[in-house]
Amino acid sequence: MLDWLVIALQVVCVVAAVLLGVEGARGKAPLWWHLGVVAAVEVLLLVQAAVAIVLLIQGGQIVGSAGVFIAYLVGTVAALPLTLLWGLGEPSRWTLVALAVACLVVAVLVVRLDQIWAGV
Amino acid sequence: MAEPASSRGGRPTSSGFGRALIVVYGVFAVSAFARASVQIARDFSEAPVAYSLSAFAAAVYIVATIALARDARRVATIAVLIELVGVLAVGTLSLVDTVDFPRATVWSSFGAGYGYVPLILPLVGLWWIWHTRSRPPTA
Repeated sequence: MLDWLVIALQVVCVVAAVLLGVEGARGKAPLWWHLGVVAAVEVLLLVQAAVAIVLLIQGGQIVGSAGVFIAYLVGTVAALPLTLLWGLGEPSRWTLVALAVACLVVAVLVVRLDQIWAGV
Repeated sequence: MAEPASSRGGRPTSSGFGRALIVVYGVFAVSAFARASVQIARDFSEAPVAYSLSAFAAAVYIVATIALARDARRVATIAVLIELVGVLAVGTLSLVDTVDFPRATVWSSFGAGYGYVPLILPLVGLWWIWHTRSRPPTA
C-alpha cells in the first residue's frame, strides 16, 4: 500500500474524530460543514480503495489473506455512509458522536488493512 | 441531563445517545461476525470451542444491535445480559484454560484486543436500557 496515503488517512481520521466528537460534546446538531468533514474523509477512503484495486490489477501481491483484505476494504468505504444514514435518522449531537466513533473505527480498519497487505 | 419527557413515558433505546451506542454495537456485530466466519471457514478444527464461542458472540451482538435499534427492550436486555456473562466467563476461561482457548475470540482476556470495549459495552448497554425505561407516574 502507499505509505503516505495510509499515514494521511490515519491523521485525517483522527482529526475528524476529534473535531466531530468535540462538536458533539458541545451539543451541536449536525451542520453542513460537519458533513463536509465526513465527505472529505470518505473521498480519501475511496481514493485508497481505488489505489488498492489498481495495485492489485497491476499484479500487487497481498501477503495476508486476500478475502480478509477485501472485507476490510469494503469496511473502510462503507462505515461512514452507513453511520451517516443511521445517525441522520435522528439528527442530534449524538449523530456527530456516532460519526466520531465511526472515524476512529475507520482509522483502525486502515491500520489493519495495511498490515494485511504487508502480511503482518 | 434529565429531560422531563423521559420521566414518565420513557424513550426509544435508539434515540439520542442510543444512536451512538448502536453504532458501537453495530461495529462489534459486523466485526465479530466477520471474525467468526474467517475462523470457522479457515481452520475450525484448530480451536473448535473458541471458534464456536466467536460465532456465538457474533450472534449475541447482532441480536443486541437489532433489538436496541428497534426498541425491543426485553430482547435487548436478555442479549446484553448474555453479552455481559459471556465476556466475564470467556475472559476468565481464556486466562485459566489455554487448551480450549488457543485462539482469540472477541471476549478473550475480557476484550483486551479491542481496548476492553467488549467489557464496558454491556454495562453501558444495560444502563441505557434502564435509563430510557418508562416509569410509572409518581404521586
